[in-house]
Amino acid sequence: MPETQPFAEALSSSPQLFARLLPTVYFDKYLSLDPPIRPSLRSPTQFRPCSINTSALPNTFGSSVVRMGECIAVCGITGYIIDSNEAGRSALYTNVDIVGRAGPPQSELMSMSEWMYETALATKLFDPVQLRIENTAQTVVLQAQIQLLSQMYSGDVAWAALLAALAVTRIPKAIPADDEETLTADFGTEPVVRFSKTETKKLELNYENLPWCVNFGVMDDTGLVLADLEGRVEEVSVQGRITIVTSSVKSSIQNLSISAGKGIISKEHIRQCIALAKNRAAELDSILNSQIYQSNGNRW
Amino acid sequence: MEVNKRDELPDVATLEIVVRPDVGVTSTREQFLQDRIMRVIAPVIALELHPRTLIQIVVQIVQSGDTKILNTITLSASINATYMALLDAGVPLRSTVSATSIIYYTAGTSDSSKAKVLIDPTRAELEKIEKDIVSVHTIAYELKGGKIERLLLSESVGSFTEDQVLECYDTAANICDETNRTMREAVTLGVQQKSRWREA
Repeated sequence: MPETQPFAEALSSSPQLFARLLPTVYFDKYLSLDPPIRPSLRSPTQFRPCSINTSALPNTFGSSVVRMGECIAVCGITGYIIDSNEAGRSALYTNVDIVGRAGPPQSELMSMSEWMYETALATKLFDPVQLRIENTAQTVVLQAQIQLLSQMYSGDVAWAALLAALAVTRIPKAIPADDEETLTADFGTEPVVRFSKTETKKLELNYENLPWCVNFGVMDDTGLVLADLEGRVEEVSVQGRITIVTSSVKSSIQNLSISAGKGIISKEHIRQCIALAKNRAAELDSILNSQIYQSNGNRW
Repeated sequence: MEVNKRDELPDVATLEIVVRPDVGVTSTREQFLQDRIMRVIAPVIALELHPRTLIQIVVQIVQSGDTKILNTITLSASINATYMALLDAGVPLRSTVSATSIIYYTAGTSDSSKAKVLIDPTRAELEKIEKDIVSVHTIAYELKGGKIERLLLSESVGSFTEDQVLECYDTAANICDETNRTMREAVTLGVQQKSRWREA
């Protein structure tokens, strides 16, 4: 029986080591199979499985937990009352945070936070007029705190968490303040209001079919379109990126972000991605709706 | 430039982009702009020619051409400015970059399919139509030998159709072509000025 060559052991390394050292070659090996498949065993145009849970957090106007593949995001929506003339250009402020990481936020996270704020503003998710408090010059401003619970994160999951939380948000009615602390302070001539603990009103969104966010990658050399990138191997190997925010409704798209890297992104690629994005949006709508149906017992 | 040991990359140059606003303190907005400029510029610079060095680009916004709610003019102008600065610095580049801003707005109708188009508008023009803006597109193209080669970056925000955005790319290609020619003229003039002592 021949002895195991010492060299043979050193030459055969584990797949994980291969993935870490040479991610692009590792990725190519999978994609060159027939039919092409990804290390996560998804087909190129297959999206990650998604699960959504709503209204899980107490003390919020609305909340959600969204999981897509390995990424998890939790969103809690709260609000506060301010003078209408102090309100800035948005009725919704978003903040994205990664849990368990100390120190200043990573630049990627800051960029994502800004993107979320701008997109929320531009997509006009709801009419801020409904947040005004009657008979006063005050209005409610919403704050969405999004926590990313996994080390891997992407804008899609954070955005999905925001949408799902907004879909179930109920704004408490503002009633005259009657607690001793508020009554003894001096607020001038403005009626002093506070949030009711019992009466709430549903936040009406401007969309029946929500504008979900979907991301794609386009391979530099082969032009292959990959849906829903996840993981270090995919992110490092794929330069071309397309991110789309769209509802499943045929005509309009809310946000389209393309970054070609070193490869070529053609109109065909864009068309294909838009079509896939709209299908995914319809799928996510139905996942959210069935979740809300189950937790409410009636359609929202 | 000298690079921090921890940022040093063994096979390529490290690229750092900093954006400073005209008014106020740096915020996540500048971070967003930095990220987008990086995505456009990084593939165009021949980073492998200068390993273990740092290329630092600082974009100081002198006057914002955007209204308070937009980023587009800032982004397209920053991309063009960054490119010209790299040219001036003599950093090795693979190709030319040119960016533009296109805005769709409705005038009097709420039907977004009948939107009008504004290309590379001034701030005054923007403020006039601010309330009617339907979608905003910032597009950057790569050019080689003076000809449009491929799309580098596209940021489209608002409410638009597939056809509108694809039509936008064609419009932008023509604009970027022209912008590129203007840049060429400016660079040629600059080089001529700098070399005029040679003729004496």
